[in-house]
Amino acid sequence: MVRFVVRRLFFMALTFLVISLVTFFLMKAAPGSFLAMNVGVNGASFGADQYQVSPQVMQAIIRHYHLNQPWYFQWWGFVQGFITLHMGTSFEYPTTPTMTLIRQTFPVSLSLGLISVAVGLSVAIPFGIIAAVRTDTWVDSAAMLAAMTGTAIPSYVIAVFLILLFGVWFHIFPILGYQGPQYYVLPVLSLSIPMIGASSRYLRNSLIENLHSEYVIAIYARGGSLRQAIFGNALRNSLLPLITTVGPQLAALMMGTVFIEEMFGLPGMGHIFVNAAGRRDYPLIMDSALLYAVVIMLMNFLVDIVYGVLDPRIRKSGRMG
Amino acid sequence: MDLVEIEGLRIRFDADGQVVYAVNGIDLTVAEGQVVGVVGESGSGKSVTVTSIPRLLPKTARCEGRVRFDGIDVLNASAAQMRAIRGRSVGMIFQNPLAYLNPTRTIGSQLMEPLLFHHLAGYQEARRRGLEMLERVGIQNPAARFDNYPFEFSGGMLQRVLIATALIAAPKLVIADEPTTSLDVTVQAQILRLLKTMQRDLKMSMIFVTHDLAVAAQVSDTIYVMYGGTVVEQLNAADLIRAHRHPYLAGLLDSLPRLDRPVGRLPFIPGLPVDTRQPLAGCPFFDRCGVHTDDCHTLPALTTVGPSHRVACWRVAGELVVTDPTAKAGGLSGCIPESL
Amino acid sequence: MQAPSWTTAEARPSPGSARLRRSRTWRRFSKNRLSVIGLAFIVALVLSALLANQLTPYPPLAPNFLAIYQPPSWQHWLGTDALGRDMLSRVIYSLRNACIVGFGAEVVELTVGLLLGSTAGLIGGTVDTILMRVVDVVYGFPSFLFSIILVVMIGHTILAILIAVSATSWVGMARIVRSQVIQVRQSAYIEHARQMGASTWQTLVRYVLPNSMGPVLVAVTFGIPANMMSEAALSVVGLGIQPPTPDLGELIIIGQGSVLSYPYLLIWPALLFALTLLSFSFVGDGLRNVFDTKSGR
Repeated sequence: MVRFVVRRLFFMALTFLVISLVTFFLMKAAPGSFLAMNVGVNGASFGADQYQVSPQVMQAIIRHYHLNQPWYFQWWGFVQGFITLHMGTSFEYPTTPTMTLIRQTFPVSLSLGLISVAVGLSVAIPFGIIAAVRTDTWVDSAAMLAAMTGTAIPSYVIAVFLILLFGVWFHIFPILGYQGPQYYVLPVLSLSIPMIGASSRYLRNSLIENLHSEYVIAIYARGGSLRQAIFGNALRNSLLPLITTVGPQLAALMMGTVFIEEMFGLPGMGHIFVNAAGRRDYPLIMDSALLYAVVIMLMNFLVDIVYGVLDPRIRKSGRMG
Repeated sequence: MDLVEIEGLRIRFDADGQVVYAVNGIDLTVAEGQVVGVVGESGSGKSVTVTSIPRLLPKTARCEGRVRFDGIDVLNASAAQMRAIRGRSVGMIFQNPLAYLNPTRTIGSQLMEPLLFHHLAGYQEARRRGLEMLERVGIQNPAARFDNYPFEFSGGMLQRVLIATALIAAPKLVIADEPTTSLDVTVQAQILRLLKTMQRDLKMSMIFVTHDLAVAAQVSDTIYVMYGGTVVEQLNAADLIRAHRHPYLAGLLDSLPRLDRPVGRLPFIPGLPVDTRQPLAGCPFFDRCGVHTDDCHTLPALTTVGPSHRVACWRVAGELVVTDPTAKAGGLSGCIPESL
Repeated sequence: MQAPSWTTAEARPSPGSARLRRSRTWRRFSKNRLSVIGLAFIVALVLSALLANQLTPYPPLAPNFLAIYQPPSWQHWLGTDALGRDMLSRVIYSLRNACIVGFGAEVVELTVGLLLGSTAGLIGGTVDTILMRVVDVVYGFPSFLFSIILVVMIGHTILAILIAVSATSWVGMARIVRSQVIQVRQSAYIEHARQMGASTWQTLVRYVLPNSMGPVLVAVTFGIPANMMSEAALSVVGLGIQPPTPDLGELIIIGQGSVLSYPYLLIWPALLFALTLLSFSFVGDGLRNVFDTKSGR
């Protein structure tokens, strides 16, 4: 188990470095950088009136990001700042430290993602069980058609239908802004419906497969009932692999928050990132990309650890997969 | 009355419009304390036949005929009645022990299930009896192994666990469905000996399914030889070499390698097994039989040819005595390890 | 000594003509009626994309200030937008763009995936290890962020979006191809072909690839709508194909902006987009039934 954790941590560090390098070079290679728009050769001329960036600030930015030094200094500057949480300020918001920006907006995105996963799982699990037990009945067909629809359609299209249904025709929930918990309902639903679809379908299929497996026949042979087969055995064995899908699901949901925030006008990190990308705000692009990457990797890591602890085969042997 | 009485059992599987005729009319009885060996190649319907006794066939199975176990009409019993039998009066041992144990639960928790499911014991008592049973089937240090998971055992040890599980509630009948097929040869012998000892000690009946004639001869009192979903011959294990009558069985015995003869090219039975997708018309062995006659286009019935010896063959029934070119003296002594 | 168990001869594969096999494939596919409907929808979609110029009643970019915000009518089936542009024409052109990116990016993914996956699977050893590590790392990328960054860097042309969309999604294809290649390679008949003296290249082209096609085809069918989703998602955050070129994501965002007054501007693009994605999903499921021998039994 310890070896497994160490290996995983090593790969996470490696992935992190690769992502930071790729992101960094992509930004370097891009035409028309923020500074090119604002800073001339030697950092002398400033055409930055529209952003109200003073020459002093500009100099400070250049120094801080090592913009006049070799690339690896610049790259390491970003990474080091990120790791030590001293990210400094971005080009776009020179007066607000990036850390403050993240602290203000990221909780919105993260809670959106986590709540959606929680809602998704707590609906998907009973859904999946019912469909599996009532295989080939109308309950199963209906549940699976709903699941397929949910899986096939992305959250922002589901958001459209939710907006029309609850916001426009029935006026139940607000469709724009963020002033209280009820503003979370539609965004959370938009994000969790695709997940409900995917997870309930996964659980159903895996539960059916388990219920047809030999060890369940052996339980019947010992005098067990269907209920004992499901709740003592098959469900547990189907939930285990479901846990592994939660990691990627959460990653997808975090990405989903980017456009869901955009659609519902939520002040989250996704909104900040999209703006930064549009304005070529290097430091902010870099920091938010790294932040998302780290969060997603951490979630996957946590999910794998939970899985490892719950599955005796991995807990005892320390091997994964 | 016998413990198991199967009469005219037919089983077919009907999945997606494709029908498989697995069992085509079988009579089989098991007396109390008797060991019955069911022998046949894969696809001969032997596993399906015995799995019908605790009614554990897949939903696609359609059964006709009569299966009685301990006075209960199995094919018409209620689900609750069947649950009450399984694990308590009938124990099952399967071919691949790893697949038949839940990988995420300890062997101890699965071992106790027959006692717990049938409320035969409380948890503490079940655990005590489980440990005792593990000891009896030859698991060293049962207290430590009790909380281990299946993947921490070897195949032979798992089969011992499965045997312990099947026998923990002291059933009247244990059905062993190819219990040694997936094991190493040396382990096979140990498991066979264990099964036989346990069967004697607990005074159970046993149905032993195998594709291996020599193994069947070692453990059984009576042997049923199956082919194409029918029983082609039923005889005492002791008579296997001396008195077998059916051409299929003769061919089988002839194709066994022997130690008392120079090693040469082994004889084999030409042809292919029966196509189970067609309903059976005539003798299932017709295509491969060297001595078939016109009668063989209709299905022969099991005919008594001696004390507890029945054969389903027109040639035998019509007293068509043909000098059997495969009949030999000497018997199987070269192939079978000392009697258990 | 133990007597050897006798084995039955392996069931002979029934030869069956190619036509027979095709008709069986179609039967299994068409058992799910939704798959057939989905296929019909996709065919209609591709046709309308190819014939967009002939089909659309109005040019999609031409404003008509005498007919702004018209509700659906006989003149304008899906109504008109803020500039009086015909929504039906705009939706058809948007779907065409979605198809270009969806199919185009899939071609890129398929090429890269086939190349890397079969290389890794066939050569094995260190090459395999290195390639799969690369795949693992790319798999860890937050793919949509990466697409966003790429679009920002390269520009907002269709080609740039195509690259951005396929930049990380080839990974899944490479994995599928590799596992298929390895699976087929380890099977008995490849062993046989090799013993008969077939070269690596010959086994790849004649045996491995044809036998790996099933899961790859299924992955392609699910990959295309995934690409369309990414493409539209880029427009949702304002980084897709630039206006005035019509695009589904953009239509959705604009429609959402005026949803309280003109809901029809939102319903139709979203509905058609959803139907398109669902169709691919249904077809993919049908194909999975055809190729998945495990559950098809």
